[in-house]
Amino acid sequence: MISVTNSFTNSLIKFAKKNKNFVVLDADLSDDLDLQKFSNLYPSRFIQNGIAEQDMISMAGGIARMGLIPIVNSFASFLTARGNEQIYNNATEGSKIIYVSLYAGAIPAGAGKSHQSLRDISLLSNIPNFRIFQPYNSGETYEILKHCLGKNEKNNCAIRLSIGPAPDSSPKLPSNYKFEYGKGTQITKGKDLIIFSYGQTMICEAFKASQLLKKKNINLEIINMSCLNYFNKSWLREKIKNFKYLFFLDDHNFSGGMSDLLISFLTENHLTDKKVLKKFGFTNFPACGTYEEVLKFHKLDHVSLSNQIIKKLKR
Amino acid sequence: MKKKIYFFENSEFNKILKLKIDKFAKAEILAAICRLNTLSIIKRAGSGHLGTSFSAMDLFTWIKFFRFKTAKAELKNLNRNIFFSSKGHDAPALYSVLHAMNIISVKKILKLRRLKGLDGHPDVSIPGIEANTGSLGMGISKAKGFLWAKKHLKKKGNVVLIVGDGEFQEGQIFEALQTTAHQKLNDLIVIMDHNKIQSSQYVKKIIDLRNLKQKIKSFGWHVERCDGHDFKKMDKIFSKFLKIKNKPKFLIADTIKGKGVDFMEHTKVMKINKRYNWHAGAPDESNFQKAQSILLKKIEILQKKRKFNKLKITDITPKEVEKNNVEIH
Repeated sequence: MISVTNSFTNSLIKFAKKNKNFVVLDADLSDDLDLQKFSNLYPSRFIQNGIAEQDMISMAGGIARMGLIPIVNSFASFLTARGNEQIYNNATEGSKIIYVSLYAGAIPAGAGKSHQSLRDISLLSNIPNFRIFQPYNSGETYEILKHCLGKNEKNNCAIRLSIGPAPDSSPKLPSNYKFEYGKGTQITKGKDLIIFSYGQTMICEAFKASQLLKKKNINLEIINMSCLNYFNKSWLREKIKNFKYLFFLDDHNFSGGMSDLLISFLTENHLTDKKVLKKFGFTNFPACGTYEEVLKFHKLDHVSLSNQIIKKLKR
Repeated sequence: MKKKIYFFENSEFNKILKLKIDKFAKAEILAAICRLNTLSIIKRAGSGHLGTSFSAMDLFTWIKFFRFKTAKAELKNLNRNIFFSSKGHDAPALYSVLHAMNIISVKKILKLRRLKGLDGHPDVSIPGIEANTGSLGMGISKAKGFLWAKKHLKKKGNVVLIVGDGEFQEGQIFEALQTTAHQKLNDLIVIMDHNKIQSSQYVKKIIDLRNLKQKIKSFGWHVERCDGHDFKKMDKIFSKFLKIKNKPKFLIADTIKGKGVDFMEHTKVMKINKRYNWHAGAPDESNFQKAQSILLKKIEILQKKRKFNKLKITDITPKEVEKNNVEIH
């Protein structure tokens, strides 16, 4: 299985032949996205802007005003935080820009908190007309990029991408998988409780947690929510109607992530009556360490998750 | 008796443009009327930035009417000249020029800073506005984006940008100076409205820009400097700029904040005051009347000197006095 980052660039190249309307800007992080593959094929459509994120984002704004679609790449922690005002300013002009929030989430955790991005959803979701996505795997990466480049999507888009290979025990998307805007994908079928999550790291932890829970005869339904701030109401109503316990798992800070956005959407639409809700996310600065160490430290590894779920059910 | 607020509608500018006098003489008249209109719309709005509007007015006039013109019919043409101001708070001056060019309607311009009127800072929903600016430091980056796209799409037209001097304290400016030269976006023309004052103090007192010319040059730009109120000098430099192909171009235009109304000109204000007090906010009634009569007198002198018929003047005094907006720097 190829990584989401590789899939992103391969997809970009696939679309570039027919769609001559997009160009790519990079703040010297093309190595991590393998963007040279694109820039070698389309040098005139690639702008190396150096480590100058604010300048790169505003430049993208000017390019977008001329009718092109800029795809702007940097690490999520730098792009969405340092350049947040520039992103906001571009958005006020109503033109469409696609931001690549590379290295989204806590993993890999070796670089530490300067690089791990756990604030970017909250930083972008309060900008009007903004859609935030995180593809679960390579196939979904293709679908999401296709959606973002499509004419029907008029909003600014951010695509969160994990760095690194998918974890070994990653579950597959269902064979009939189809990307549907605002809807999630069922990874496992459950009957007692349901968990909403996204991204390769957390979906995998949820999956492993579901296997532990199964031994205790608890069936956890896992939903991959690749649209992080836009939700389909009727689909959600149908999805949760048989569940009392709703869980939410973010690869983001505890506040301001997909969980908060989804819970507020459900509450607004009176879909949380008589439900028991619990969310999981990072409650402090992310720790530095290995994959397992860090998730365990933050009690977001599959063992901690299944224990906390059991505790919640007993209450 | 209530004092009047006067305004010259766009029809009157057309009369000036048709006069058989040289373009520099025309520019002087157009700028004088635009200053009067700028003062009036700010007074009506109850707030707005006079000082910087007046310092940039001669630059705007020359660029928009004569040097890098974009007619109403071309506003969506990708080959058009693209001009905007990075500092953005000089919007009342730009709006006045765009009204004079029949791009912004009289109905709109009288609704400065009002709902469904003209935003306090530039917004692309307004005809003739190319970029949303006002949050300082973003302009050069945006302008080079426009220019890059023009080249990529093989479109014609210049990209010309005004920057402030105060905003040179923003770091993004220096990112952009560096990348513009490196990316060989050499057709870019940036003009600094160097009026020496930010909010209320000398730039050199807040954070000194030191040797500006040398600084910008060292980033790989061709730099010129001239009086930003002298049309002939700036025109000569623009001609020179269009011939230089190996570097992006930067003009440091020395201007006077509040230019055109002597008691608002920083060179006079700072001799008697510790702070410059015409950066933001509408003048009170007596200062407004004083400024208005100075600007009307200037127009009258030019009318006699250039021998044109008296222009039609419109009374735009609001029926009710607007509750003044809060002064925001």
